[in-house]
Amino acid sequence: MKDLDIKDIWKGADSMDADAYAKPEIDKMIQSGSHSLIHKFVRTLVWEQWINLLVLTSLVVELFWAGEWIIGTGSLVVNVAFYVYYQKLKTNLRNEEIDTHVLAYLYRVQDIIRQFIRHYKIAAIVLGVLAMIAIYYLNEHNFYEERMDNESVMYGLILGVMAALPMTFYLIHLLYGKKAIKLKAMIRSLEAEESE
Amino acid sequence: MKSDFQGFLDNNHRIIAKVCRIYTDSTDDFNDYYQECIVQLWRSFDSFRGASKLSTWTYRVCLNVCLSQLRSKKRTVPTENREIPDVVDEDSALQEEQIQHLYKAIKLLRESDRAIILLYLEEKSYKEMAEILGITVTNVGAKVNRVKAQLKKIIDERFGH
Repeated sequence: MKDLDIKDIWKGADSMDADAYAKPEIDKMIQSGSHSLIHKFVRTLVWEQWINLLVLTSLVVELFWAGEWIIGTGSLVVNVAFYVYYQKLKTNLRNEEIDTHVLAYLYRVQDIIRQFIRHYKIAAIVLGVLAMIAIYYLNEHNFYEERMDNESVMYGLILGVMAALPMTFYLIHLLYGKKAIKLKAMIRSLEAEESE
Repeated sequence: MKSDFQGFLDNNHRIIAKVCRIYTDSTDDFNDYYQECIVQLWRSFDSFRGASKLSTWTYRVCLNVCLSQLRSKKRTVPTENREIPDVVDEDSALQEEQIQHLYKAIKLLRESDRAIILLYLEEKSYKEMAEILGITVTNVGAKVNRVKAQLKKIIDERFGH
């Protein structure tokens, strides 16, 4: 088959796509949004952001209600910091556009996601330690209706926080790690094809 | 919807459809990829600064979307066993068959090579192809010749044209 033949046949293929989608159909597509891996990542971030906001705000209210101003203020600062961080992260991911080279785009997204997971792990460890200090502090300041005379209860709580750490790491894997692994596989696959 | 986006789609919908068609094997996949292209084009539409032609930018976004979509989906049945969907209203049955064969042959190429042959068939200049694919003009020339030869071989072997 000659070059010209192939091009002639290809020109005939134009008739397959004669009409564009109508405006309502396009509107529907835009409204239903992206189904890409990156979009799924952002959607998970949105859910987690709201859950964090709800839980941490309840905690702040409870602490202020009990007159624990120092810990309450600390929790409020963490709450606001989390909210701002997630907002910034979502904006960064949404601002990444796929109109450059596909690998360059995926590298940029991967950098953002890797940094987020690293920050998440650091935050889990730091907050875990702070939570243990807070339990000790609150016990010392009679936050619980009666001071826990039996120290084993307090140490039990501290151990609970320590046990929560590996669970948090597993949660990070479920929520974000799996998507990051999938993204890495996508990048490797594209790299492999480019290098052939 | 952004006021001029519909106008842009009216002029460029064939580009989106062709790119999606060379990377999909079923109507469902085609619709998914098409939607993803529309969403990404819509998102980036305002930030298009005219550094390249609008059609160049459209090809680039759509090819990038399809290549990343392909990698995020699990592989299913190999392309050669599947029928090309949605070929409609062809006057000539022969022409329809030839188009189907051409699409089938293109789908047997490597994913990145499909982009090259698509742009070649769309009669894009090497410069524009280089811009869309993010490679050098010299590289485009070498690749086009290799992919063309490969496509011809597939067509001859499988469809005996």
